[in-house]
Amino acid sequence: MISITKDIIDQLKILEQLKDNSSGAVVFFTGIVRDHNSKEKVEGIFYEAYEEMVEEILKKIEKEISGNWNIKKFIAIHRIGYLKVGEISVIVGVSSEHRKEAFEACSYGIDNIKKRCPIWKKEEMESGDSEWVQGVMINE
Amino acid sequence: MKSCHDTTLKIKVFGIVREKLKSDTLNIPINNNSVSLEEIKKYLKEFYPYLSKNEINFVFAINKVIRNENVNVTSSDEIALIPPISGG
Repeated sequence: MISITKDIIDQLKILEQLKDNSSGAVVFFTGIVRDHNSKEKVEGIFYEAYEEMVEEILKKIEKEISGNWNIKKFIAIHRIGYLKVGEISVIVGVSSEHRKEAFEACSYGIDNIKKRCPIWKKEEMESGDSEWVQGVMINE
Repeated sequence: MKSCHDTTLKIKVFGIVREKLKSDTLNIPINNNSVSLEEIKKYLKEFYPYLSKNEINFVFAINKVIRNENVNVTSSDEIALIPPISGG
């Protein structure tokens, strides 16, 4: 399951969706809004996405993972809109028979979301300033 | 008959570019049925000075696929300008 959402991401609900009686492992990566950047205190982050393209790329990543690792289930969800410090911005979850596949697939999933998905973030500082995070050129 | 001068390309923009240009779509009039990405880039840099600044880097996505080569596009293509990304 892959998606872009404006809703709060419920990690426990996703854990239940990933669990499977034939899987002995569930691995998560959870991205959380941090309260600072290298210079100052951050209050929240505004996320924006080219949603239709992100969905296409998430589907590709899901297919690559299913082709390369023996996994049972894969979930990747990225949130957009304004998120406060402590809220979950992205979650990647994998279940598999053994932990090695789940760790590797999960790591591939988040690395590729960060490199390939057209998503942008703007940090809102405690000082009242705001700034778009510089980012990296898309590698898709 | 519709004049070919009526054709307008719509380019989706996001993030800092959308904010600086105060619009989520840029309209580019074209004289032919198709135009190359290099020609679009030239037009954008001429009419949107912000995009000619050295620090602004971007690539195009055509129909949701990144195209680094200088392909031709038409008004039926979905064109987006993709500045550096920062998801996660």
